[in-house]
Amino acid sequence: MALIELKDVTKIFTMGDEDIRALDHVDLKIQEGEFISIIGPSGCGKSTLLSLLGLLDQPTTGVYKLDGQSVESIKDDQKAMLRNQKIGFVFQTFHLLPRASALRNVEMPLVYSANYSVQHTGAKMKDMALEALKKVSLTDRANHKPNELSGGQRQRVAIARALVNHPKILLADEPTGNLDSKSGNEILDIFQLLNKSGVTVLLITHDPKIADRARRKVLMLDGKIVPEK
Amino acid sequence: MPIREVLILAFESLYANKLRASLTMLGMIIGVGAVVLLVSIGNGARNYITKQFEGLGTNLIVVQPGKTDKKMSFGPPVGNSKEKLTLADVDALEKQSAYLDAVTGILFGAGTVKTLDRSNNVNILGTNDKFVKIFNIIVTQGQFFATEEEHGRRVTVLGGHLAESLFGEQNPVGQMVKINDSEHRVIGVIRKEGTKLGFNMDDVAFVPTKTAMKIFNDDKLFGIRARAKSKISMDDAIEEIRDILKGRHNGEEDFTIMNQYSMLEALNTILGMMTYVLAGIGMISMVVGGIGIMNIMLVSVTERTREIGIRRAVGARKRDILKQFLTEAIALSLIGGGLGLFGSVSLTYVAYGFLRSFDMRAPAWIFLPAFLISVLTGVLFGVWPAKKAAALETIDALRYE
Ligand SMILES: Nc1ncnc2c1ncn2[C@@H]1O[C@H](COP(=O)(O)OP(=O)(O)OP(=O)(O)O)[C@@H](O)[C@H]1O
Ligand SMILES: [Mg+2]
Repeated sequence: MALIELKDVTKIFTMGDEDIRALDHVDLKIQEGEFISIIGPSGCGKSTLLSLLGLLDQPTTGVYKLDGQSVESIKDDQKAMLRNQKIGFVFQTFHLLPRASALRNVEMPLVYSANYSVQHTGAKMKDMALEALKKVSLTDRANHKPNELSGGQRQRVAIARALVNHPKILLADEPTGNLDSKSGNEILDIFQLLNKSGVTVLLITHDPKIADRARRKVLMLDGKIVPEK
Repeated sequence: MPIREVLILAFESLYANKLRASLTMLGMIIGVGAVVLLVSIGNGARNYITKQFEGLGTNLIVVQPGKTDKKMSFGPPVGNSKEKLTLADVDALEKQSAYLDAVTGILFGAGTVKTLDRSNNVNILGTNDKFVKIFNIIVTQGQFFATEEEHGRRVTVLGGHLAESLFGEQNPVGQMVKINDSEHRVIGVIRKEGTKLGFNMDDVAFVPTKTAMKIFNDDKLFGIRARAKSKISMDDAIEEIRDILKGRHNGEEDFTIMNQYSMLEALNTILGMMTYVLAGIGMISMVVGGIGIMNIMLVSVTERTREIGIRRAVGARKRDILKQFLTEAIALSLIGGGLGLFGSVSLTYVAYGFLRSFDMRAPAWIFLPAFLISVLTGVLFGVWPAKKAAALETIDALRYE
């Protein structure tokens, strides 16, 4: 059974009287443990797809099955639990809390973990957040607020936050977009390491070189997935 | 989500908007402060009056000429009612009553008291030897009237302050004074007591009842004052007075009997009502404070829409968001309320320091209701903004600019 299965999924945004088909009859199966890159031109629906997969949004029509369960039937609280425990999300626009330090930003998912599994002590949360920051080489910026960080550093904070709770699925929307090729490669190394330990990784990128490092490459065009060879 | 984290979040966010939070709290500070202050003043006033009544004498019964229908009142209008109470009524009560300890008729009027070199405008009160017993009067020099002085002798007992102002350091006892142009010998001075229920005995010249009748050229009594033997026999005593006086007044009840406790009760009812009205006014300012909180929380929810989206995206449930914003609102109202409480309680203590005779110190029981009301205001006015925050769709919140 596939970990992720999209069947005939369409997502339509209605803007006034204009309908935008961000996703157009998409079929996609991803097995557990895969490392997939999605490439495609700007506006082809990559971020929209990732939001659906990350349980942040719902398809207009079609079926999304996560771990065999139709997402439509998953309750709101259950989705919050899955986002917290199973899914790590790196947003294209980072989405960091501007008032909180890098450390507090990375700690944030752990605060909500108490709802679902363990309640970490404050010290333990700090340790885990620092460990995640270490993975992205940002320990020395732990107490900086986002506006005191460079674009690439912010991106790395966002990645650390996605990793902190040891997710089963990592969804990353252009995680290397603001990074030089060296730092970008370091991030890719981390992802590959995670993937080896069993984490399913889904990566959106514009960079063909990065896409090539994934074992499977999916091409999107105009809300459609171009059939793989 | 652990309560510790919820609290940390709330305080972080309040701290990030210090000025705004302080201004919002100001509404609560004023609201709670006003309620506590007004309740304390009302409470102080009630205690003050109760004490005054108690100091007035024990088991006091007041009989005034004229009939009033209302039960809870302060008696008939003072002044020239056609009905009269006379010294004969007093004698009858004295002789026939089984429940009374002491009875006196009183007359009352303005007059002047003169020595050779001084003249004071004072109240002149005609009464008999029982007055001392009924009103717990303490004589400091000389003595009060003896029984025989009842019959119109020209003697007087002076209030403490009056004696001082007429004679200074000299002993007034044995000296002569002119009361409205007739000579009286001073036979005693009573202790200074200050004002009791607006009546200052310190500036009164007491004269025997019949002497007062001559001075005022009037044989009507202002009223009768009596003291029941005990608090339990109060009601019996009142019934007895009614029977005796009715018998003497052709079966007509042309007088009003009041007792100390029913008068106190009536006063307290009015004071209690006033306290509630004042507290109600205070509550209005609390509502204004609450609306301030609601307003700020609504602004805060809008401002932090993206934060809400981010929190939801990393695993916050709707109820976590609700908790976060509700806690913030309650923190605002509770801190504000706490400061208001602290401020107003301190104020009552400071005021007491300046005005010892009126104890308006906040009562201890005020703390719990003040606390509860603060929390309640936070909940009441915070719940709608918090619900709005929790109801946001994650993806829309994330995309909010
Ligand atoms: N909330 C929305 N409301 C209206 N239109 C939307 C919304 N979100 C996305 N779209 C539209 O859907 C299309 C796909 O958007 P999406 O963000 O998925 O593109 P993308 O492939 O991620 O592009 P990029 O590489 O530039 O990030 C775009 O045409 C966009 O304008
Ligand atoms: Mg995108």
